[in-house]
Amino acid sequence: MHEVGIVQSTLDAAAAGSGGRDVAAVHLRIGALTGVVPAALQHAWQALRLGTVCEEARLVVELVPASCRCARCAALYGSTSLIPSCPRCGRAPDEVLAGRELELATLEVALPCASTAAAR
Amino acid sequence: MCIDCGCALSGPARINGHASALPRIELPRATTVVPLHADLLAPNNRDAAANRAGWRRQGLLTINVVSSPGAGKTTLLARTIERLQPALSAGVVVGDLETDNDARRLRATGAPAVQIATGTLCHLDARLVAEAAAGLPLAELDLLIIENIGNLVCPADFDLGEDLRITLLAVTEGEDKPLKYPPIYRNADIILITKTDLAEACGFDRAAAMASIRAVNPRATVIELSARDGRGLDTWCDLLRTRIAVVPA
Repeated sequence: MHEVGIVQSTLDAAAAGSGGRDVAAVHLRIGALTGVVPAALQHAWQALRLGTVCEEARLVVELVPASCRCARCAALYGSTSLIPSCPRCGRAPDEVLAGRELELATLEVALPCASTAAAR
Repeated sequence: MCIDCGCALSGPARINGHASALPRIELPRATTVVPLHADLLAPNNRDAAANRAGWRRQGLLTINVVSSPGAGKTTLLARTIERLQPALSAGVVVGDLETDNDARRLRATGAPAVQIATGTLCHLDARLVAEAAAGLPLAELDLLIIENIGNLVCPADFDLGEDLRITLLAVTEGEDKPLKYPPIYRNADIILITKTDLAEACGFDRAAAMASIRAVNPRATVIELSARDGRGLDTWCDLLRTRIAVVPA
């Protein structure tokens, strides 16, 4: 299980990308073929975000289906299985076009409060 | 509460130093979206690319050997190193959570070996391996072997800078291992079915094993071998010799 490592990398990248502002939400795109367990990500998130700019942030995980090509059928098909197979002939994918993503897609960062900023 | 952006108070309101009886109002703060599209494995992938370039410059073939604990990595590698000697020299970086037992077993072949004891880390990453490999006489070697930590889950996603990824399936593990742990078999260039001397004793169904391998990886070269009685080792070692021969010097 390297969900903890993924969450730590996410926090590092979020700290760098947020410019020091509080983060309200972190959106990850995780490929179906990575075998990463979203519940384990959330569990690690609860523990590791404390004391970081993501302390109050939600973790939103989008599972990216695999996109595969079958050489025998020249078919393109999608799959959310960890073991995709061609729906026509059952063969394993000859090429995987998507489904291996481990991507920090976007951050939602808090805007500075205009009235408190004006009061300073 | 701020009327400009709708942010909630950052804590309970205080009136003359006393907490307000009014409940804190939780409203979503105004946010803006920052697109990053950052690959979370990018730091490791950068290190791996640097390893690959450096090791190729030194004329090395590098293999990353992965399997579950006890599938026979260390024994197979010791016999492999002995068969390649003296024409070809190998060095090993070996990872385990604790002990240097595997490094000592591999050094008994005469090959240099560096042990990484990761503590609790469940896989090797490119930076760890680079540091350890620097302790080997790389200029004198033809083959750099990375014996990964016995684990069928985590090492799958971590490129170390190897030229070939080798995944083992011991006949004692059951024919459906590739179906249970698809990523590590899907990413393999070569799949070695090990301990074939025990195949009969444990009722190993060769056809079923091949079917489960092919269900996740139609391309990998599959070699059946036994480090104990030697069958299949020639095929395996010839494959390594062929690949070493085409590494630009």
